[in-house]
Amino acid sequence: MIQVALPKGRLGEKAYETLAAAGYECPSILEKNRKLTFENQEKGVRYFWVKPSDVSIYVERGAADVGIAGKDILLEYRPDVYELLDLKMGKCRMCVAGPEDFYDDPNKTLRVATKFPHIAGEYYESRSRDIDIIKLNGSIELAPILGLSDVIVDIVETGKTLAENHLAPLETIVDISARFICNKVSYKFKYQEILAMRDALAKNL
Amino acid sequence: MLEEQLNQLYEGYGYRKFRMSKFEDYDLYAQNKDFLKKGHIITFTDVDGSLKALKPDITLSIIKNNNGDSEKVYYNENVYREMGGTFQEILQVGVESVGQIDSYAEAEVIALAAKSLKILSEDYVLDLSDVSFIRCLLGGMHLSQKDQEQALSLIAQKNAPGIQDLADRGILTTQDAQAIQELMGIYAPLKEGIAQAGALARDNRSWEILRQLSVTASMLEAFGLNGRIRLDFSLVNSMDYYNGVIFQGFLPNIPFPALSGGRYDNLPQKMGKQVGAIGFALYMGRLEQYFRQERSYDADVLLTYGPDADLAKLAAFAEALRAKGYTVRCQRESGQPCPARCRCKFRYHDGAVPEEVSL
Repeated sequence: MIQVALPKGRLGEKAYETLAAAGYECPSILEKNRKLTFENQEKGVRYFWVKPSDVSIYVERGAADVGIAGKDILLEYRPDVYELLDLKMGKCRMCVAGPEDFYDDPNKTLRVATKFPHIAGEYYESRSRDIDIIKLNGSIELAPILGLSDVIVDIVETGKTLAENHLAPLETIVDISARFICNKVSYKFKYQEILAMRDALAKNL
Repeated sequence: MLEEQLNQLYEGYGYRKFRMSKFEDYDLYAQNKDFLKKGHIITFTDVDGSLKALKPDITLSIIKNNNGDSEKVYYNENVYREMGGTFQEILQVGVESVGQIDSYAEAEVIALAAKSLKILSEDYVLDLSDVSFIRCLLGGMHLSQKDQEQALSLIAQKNAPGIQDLADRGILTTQDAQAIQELMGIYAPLKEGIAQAGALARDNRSWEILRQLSVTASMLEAFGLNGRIRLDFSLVNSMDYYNGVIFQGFLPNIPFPALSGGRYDNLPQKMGKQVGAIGFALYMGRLEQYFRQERSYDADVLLTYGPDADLAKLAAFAEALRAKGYTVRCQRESGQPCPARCRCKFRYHDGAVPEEVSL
């Protein structure tokens, strides 16, 4: 039995569809109820929905054998897991964004608001830029509008939200997509099943 | 229990028990910081003003005390390390073999690692790698220090898409990227894995390493170990510490490595000793909670008594129950619930007999 952690939301639903198409379907998952785990004994899988940023925790600690997690989560939290496949879905970019006419004055410490302090810190460190990180948990776009920060580091999918707030993506830090991750110990004990799942997924991309 | 079994195993191979005090001179750790995985050490000033430390590691002390002789030792000692943001006392069981390390000595330590795991679970897995093979392969790719580190961390994640990305960015040639992807894809019983790695050996040094590994594989078979030892080149942790074969042990349903070890000739050499060394440690402190038998009760019987009970007779009655093998907690009735959880409750009355109590 392979335990699969899926991220709640659109990405998770899409990932499940790919898994189902690859032969790991579990019809009960589509029923509208309050159940938390869904099992298909015959196919040897059990799915559960968790908060997207928690997928890597479930996998790292072995509560799930495998999971679907965004590259942003993996870069931010650095879980000790195997990253077996790029699912090429949920594609977006991690960007620095700010006012359209933003000028970065090198004499000033740059104030950066973000949900991803680790990624932002590392990016600016690699460019030897002094910054002041402001960790927020949501509505990041508000920060430069209210003068809380100069720029933001956030995920940009279409740029629509930014444009509506008169902000623009300034630099791309890294491209993001969903990854198929695996607990290191589970790999040792179930590697045939897990590799079969990986290969079936790769075929269906 | 488990510790005794492990000690017996090591003594069966003629390993001596290494004992040491809780404290060691801080200098030892300051001078060998590179060899400690984490730098956090609990230090204090001794009465004579010298700076001491609570030992974070046993291996350093074993090598320090070695005077160039061959030595085979095992230990059960507490170490004090930072884990999860606080200092913790962790019981470590380990084996070190120091001296002229030939193929036999190397295989013996790996065999002991596998046999230690077997005591904990029949379904163990021991993964083995040789860091010098990876060094050879990456060395021929003319990477900058930073790119090499990045490649290593991708290998540790078996991250094929990440390696592909390095190729797309022109850091690796397509051919080199493919070689690395094949390398980290290898996960097979030792002999089979060595055959697969043959396709990736590009120079004499790499061939020599593979030849050594197959000697080790044959020796392990002679030690009666088959199938549960696998070759996995994604095992690249602590590459500055180890210089040859490295290994990690895993047990079912325990989500972290149970054992890790390898060849570390650099440490004795740094201390000016012309010897080689190989060893491993088992993280017993962290494993214990998975092996301890679960208890759901504090005691079998909660024996209550009123204010008028004959206390001498009550004591005799409780002793009689204990003689039957029950654990018994006596508590005077007070109207308050008992804080302990017991399987059954029995109110003592005059003339009670042990047979009245049934679980």
